[in-house]
Amino acid sequence: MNITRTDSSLYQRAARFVRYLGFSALLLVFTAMIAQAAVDLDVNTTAVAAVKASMQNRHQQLFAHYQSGAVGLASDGFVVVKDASMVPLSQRSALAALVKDENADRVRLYQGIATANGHPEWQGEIQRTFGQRWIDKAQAGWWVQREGQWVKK
Amino acid sequence: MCWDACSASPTVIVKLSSNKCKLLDIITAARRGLRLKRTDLKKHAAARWARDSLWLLAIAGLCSCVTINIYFPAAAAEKAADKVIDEIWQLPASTNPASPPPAVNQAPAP
Repeated sequence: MNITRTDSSLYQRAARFVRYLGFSALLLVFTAMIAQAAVDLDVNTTAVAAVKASMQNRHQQLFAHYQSGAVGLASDGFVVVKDASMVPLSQRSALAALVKDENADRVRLYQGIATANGHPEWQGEIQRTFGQRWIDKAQAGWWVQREGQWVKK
Repeated sequence: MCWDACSASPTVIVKLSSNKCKLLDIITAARRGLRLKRTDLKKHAAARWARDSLWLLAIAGLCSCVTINIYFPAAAAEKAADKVIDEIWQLPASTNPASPPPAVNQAPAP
């Protein structure tokens, strides 16, 4: 009396093996899909929230400059003084400071999101993504940079 | 002693079956019944299959985690960017900007 697996023919073994392979492949694909779907970037750390609040406040002032065309949205995810002559001479240094602060906050934002997700090296890609999205979401009439060219949206 | 070993567990039977314990095996098989043995075999196959599947699942999971960590999740980044921009610009979630933020104090000279 033998309880070893000698009863299955070569064909049965081959069939079993093929089934096994197919199943493992399916399993692999499903696991990968689940893992992919679960990926989400975390943007809710305290550092990021602080930067967001600061930028939110500043936007009240920047908004008018976007509208007038004094400030434009560059494709690299920063803002630039597009046409300083749109503001009175007395306010130009304030405008420059505003843009400088905004860009400093933006660096902090991109950096914060990258580090919050455990990948500081993603900062550049996050910045590029934001650069595109800022421009996409800009209102009509704002200066934006597309493929190196400045255009009014 | 050999009798005890044979009746102890199916694995022992398997081990002994190739040796000189044929008679004892037959007796034990009779005692347990042939059907039980067949289910035992099936149970073992299922257990092995389950174990192998679990290993595969673990390896596949690990691979996908590594892959995801290496490659930048562009779609997730875009989603995150939209969320952040909507918050900063105080836009209604994922729509085209239509209304300016409530307070715009500074009116630049033309």
